Amino acid sequence: MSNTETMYKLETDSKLVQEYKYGFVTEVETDELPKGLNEDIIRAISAKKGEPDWMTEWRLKAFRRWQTMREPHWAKVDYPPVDYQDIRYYSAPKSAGTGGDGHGVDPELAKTFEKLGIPLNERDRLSGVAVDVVFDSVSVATTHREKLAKQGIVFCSMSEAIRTHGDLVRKYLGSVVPPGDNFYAALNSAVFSDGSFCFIPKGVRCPVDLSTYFRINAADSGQFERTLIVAEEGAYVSYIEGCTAPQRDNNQLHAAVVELIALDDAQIKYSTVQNWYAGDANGVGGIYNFVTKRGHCRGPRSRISWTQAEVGAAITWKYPSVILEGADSVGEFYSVAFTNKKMQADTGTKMIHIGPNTKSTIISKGISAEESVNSYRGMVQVLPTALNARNHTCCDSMLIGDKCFANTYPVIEVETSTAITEHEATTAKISEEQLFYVRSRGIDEESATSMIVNGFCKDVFKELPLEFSVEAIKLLELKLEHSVG
Amino acid sequence: MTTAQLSVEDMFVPGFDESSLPSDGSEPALLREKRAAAFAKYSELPMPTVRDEEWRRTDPEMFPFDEFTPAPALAPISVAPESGPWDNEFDVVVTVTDEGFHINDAANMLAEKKLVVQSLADAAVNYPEMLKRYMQGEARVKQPRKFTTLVDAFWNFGLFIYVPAKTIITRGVLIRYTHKTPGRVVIPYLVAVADELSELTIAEQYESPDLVELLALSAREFYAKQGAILRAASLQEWGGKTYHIGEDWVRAERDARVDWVSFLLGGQLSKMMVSCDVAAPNSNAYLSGLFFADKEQHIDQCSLQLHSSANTYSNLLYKGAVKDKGHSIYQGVIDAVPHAVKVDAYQMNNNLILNEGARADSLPGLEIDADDLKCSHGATCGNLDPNHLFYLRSRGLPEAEARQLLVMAFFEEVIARVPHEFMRERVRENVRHKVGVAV
Amino acid sequence: MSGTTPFFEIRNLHAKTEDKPILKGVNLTVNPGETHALMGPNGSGKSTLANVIMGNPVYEVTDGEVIFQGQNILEMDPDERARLGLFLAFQYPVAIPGISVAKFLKGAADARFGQGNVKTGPFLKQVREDMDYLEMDKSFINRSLNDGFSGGEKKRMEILQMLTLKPSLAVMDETDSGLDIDALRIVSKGVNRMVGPDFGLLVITHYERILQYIKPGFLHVLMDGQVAMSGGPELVKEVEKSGYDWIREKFGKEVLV
Repeated sequence: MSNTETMYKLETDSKLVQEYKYGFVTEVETDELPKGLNEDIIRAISAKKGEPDWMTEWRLKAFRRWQTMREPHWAKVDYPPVDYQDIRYYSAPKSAGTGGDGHGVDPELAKTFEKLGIPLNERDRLSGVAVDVVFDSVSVATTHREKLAKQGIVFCSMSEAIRTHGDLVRKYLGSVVPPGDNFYAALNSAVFSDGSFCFIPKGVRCPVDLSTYFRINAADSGQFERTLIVAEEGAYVSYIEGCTAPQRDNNQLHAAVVELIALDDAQIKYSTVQNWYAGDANGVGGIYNFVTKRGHCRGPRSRISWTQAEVGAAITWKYPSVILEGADSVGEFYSVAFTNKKMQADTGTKMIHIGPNTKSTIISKGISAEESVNSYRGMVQVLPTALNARNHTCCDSMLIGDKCFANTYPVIEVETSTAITEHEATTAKISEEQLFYVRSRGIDEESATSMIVNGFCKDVFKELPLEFSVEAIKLLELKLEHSVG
Repeated sequence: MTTAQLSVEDMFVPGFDESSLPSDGSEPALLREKRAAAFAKYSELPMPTVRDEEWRRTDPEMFPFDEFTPAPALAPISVAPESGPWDNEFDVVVTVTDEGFHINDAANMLAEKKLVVQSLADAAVNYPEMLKRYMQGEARVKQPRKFTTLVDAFWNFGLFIYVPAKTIITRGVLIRYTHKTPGRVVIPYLVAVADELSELTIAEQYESPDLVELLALSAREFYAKQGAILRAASLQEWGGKTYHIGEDWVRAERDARVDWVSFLLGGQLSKMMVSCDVAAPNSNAYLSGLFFADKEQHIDQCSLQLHSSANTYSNLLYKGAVKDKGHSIYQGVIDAVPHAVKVDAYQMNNNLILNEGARADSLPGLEIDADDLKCSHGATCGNLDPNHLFYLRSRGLPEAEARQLLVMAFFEEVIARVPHEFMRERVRENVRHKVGVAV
Repeated sequence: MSGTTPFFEIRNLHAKTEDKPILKGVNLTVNPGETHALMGPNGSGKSTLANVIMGNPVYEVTDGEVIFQGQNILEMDPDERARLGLFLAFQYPVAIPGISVAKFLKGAADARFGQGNVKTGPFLKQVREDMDYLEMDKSFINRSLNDGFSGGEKKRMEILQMLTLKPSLAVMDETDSGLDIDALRIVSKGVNRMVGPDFGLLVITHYERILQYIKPGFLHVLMDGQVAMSGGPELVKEVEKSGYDWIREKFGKEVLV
């Protein structure tokens, strides 16, 4: 509670700001490339990062591929055409340094992240978490580096990894999401400017949660981060991603790619609390969140879990998926997607069963309020080789108010008789009976609603790391405050 | 996907262009106008391609359209064709063959005007207002698909069934389609109306010899007016080389109840669509499907449960099995329009995959923009439960028998939704036969 | 009694649901320290009365007043009524998946007594003691509210909430229905702990059985949406012996006159 209160005090007391308390802008001098996209811009990005030739070529190849591709429009979202030449593909605070260990960070930036609850100072409350902080196009700090390095864990910004661990990056980059995978992945492959790289060597259990915090600050820039996590044989890592952006009345593009690779017996747990600025009540402004996230359970008995609390962004287009290739590998997807105002979310997952005895679980909870559209889109594919594969899917939608939409579009393809898949889904209005019961015990309507919604989401929130789970619940409560009654 | 790029060949199914519209002028003007209007729509709509969401899993090119020619329009024949085993169970029996059609009014229901069963040509003369209203009428809640506009323009056999208000027809109407001439496109069109507080049962049966190549394109419209009960069951037992594309439309009005059942057992390749609108308070619809794709059969079905009014109920149950190299697809949508409160919609698709090489796809969808409602759906895919199999075998049943028993048990829930015991028995027999053949 | 503000009084209460009138002029007064029983045949409006007192939005009040602690509470939201000290033990308690009993009770207690006045430690200790008293398994405190509870467990949970929220007036809506004799004894034990000079109780029931455990000083018989007859404990025996028919007969005549 007190934490929230201090945050409120830092800002103005206008209602709008309280509603999206991360909507402020940081005044820093920036190093920018001109707007627009062409081969020169890509070369310039690559040069700014001091990348080797193979990387520059990789980007250019992706760019050429992108030019032949068309923006996908099958999702249940509606937005005016995006002018890809009107976006700035590189913007970095001048004094950011080069993604070091957090010492000597511009005090303005440090203050920004303090305000966002992400102190760069290691002594603070996030001592159990190592954080990589990305501000617009560059990583500004990565904490806990030395401690991790002792165990052979690499956790640094992607730009740094390309310079210092080129072979590793080259081996895995694009191996799960190839540059030509889809329109946004191709765009990202061409222009990505930073992101996080994590490598957990064989047999190592990462002692702290690794985390990246993404912040879009500059006005006309997009953010195109690239994250790559590799867990070698028997390794374990829990990774957390958080994001915010200032409140502006134009739309900004966020097109990220995340690739996860789990070798034999490895386990990766990836959690996201996505709270990009969602636009105002009239649907003006907000982030377009077009993200490709995919994990590859390459080795036997490997396990990848995606847990997400999607509560922000004007438009979300995102399907964290798992390719279950290793025998007995496990894929999980736990998602809460909350939409209000005029937000549009089209999100879900793909579980592709290739190896025998592979298992997947999908739990998706969608809550739509006000005039928003919330769609679940999921695919469970069981190939003939996936003997004894199992999937259980449960996706529930809750409607709050009478102007919102909830859609469910599952696809189940089964090509072996040894598999069992189960899918269940419900859509219902928040129950009047439940509301009356809770209110008859003295709890007001708003709290009663938030209590019921939290109960509805519990199966997902319990999969988040504790601190994040508390954060997600608070965020949801804050959002509900303005959507009820 | 721009239409400008399409040539004439892309716009028309071979054999179905302007020159093949009935032109002898003998048809009532009403029907000619309807055909012309439908043809205009048909000419505008592009041919579906595998890029269309609805056809992604059944490429329209899988239908060898150019191997077929339109069947001639069917005329009444005076001599009753061979009778069927169930004819005695119905009040009226309509027999449709390559030679023509015959309406047998054994129970004098038509003579006593308790029931109307007429060709569309006759009905256009006797009941023009009704045809104006119900042919391509309110039940068509969406733009018809390309092939349905073809049926509207080129149907070669049309039937109109009508029960007057407050008339209870318990045994009902049987329509038997038997086609044997190879290389033909047969195009039946049915319009059925149960008027206020009436009750009607319609059963249909489709047959063709196993080796005859045939294409059927069909459209059916069912209307249950206020307080009416309408039961419609169809049993598709085409031979192994028959192709079928069909679209059904169902509309239930206030306090009405529709029981629609479809058994898809035969045919090489079927693409069937049903849209059901529970259109007024307290209207109820039960949609049931049973399908079994074995050998190289491909069965693709889609359904729409549209709740265009508050206080409506729909319940869909589709159960299917795939065997050998069979492939089944079920794609369903529940759509509740804004302000359709107190809607209760249910959709369930269960699939049995009986051996390696067979495939089942399930796409159960929900599109909801109402406030106070309850929608749920479920889908399962899998083989028979090994524990059940083991249990039966431990009681002395041979494996094949145990499997057959379990498959029958799986289907019984949907078989039970058919009103006629003889039809239920026929389906059980057919399913037993399909399971029984050694894998 | 005239001249003083009534503690709890229902005056000429009319209510309907979906255009069907159910309550047609109910009058009833409960004073502190009194236990009243309300009986009546199925469909007479007993559960409707309980729900209308608590403010269930499903019912529409068309006329009359419900005075509690000197105020007409009919304009109040259900949660305001609860905070004022009114409690309804539901006939069919609702399950809420994902909310633990502990969290729910704490939330309700915070609302009733003010957030600063409820210290989590002592609060939970008290809840555990009460659970003990009601012979409930302690593991219930971490389970989802009423989710997967048996009928008897749900009813005990209602009484636990009553003990926790310490209302000054409680309405029990057929709490005894479906309970075996042992559960009935436990539930009654909990209720009797509440009974005292500052507590009013209205027990709505279909069976006389519970009245052997919770002794009412007054009995009212509800028929066709009106209180047809009121009396003391002797009326309970009369109903037990002869059923409702004689009351209906008499009531019918009175209406005719």
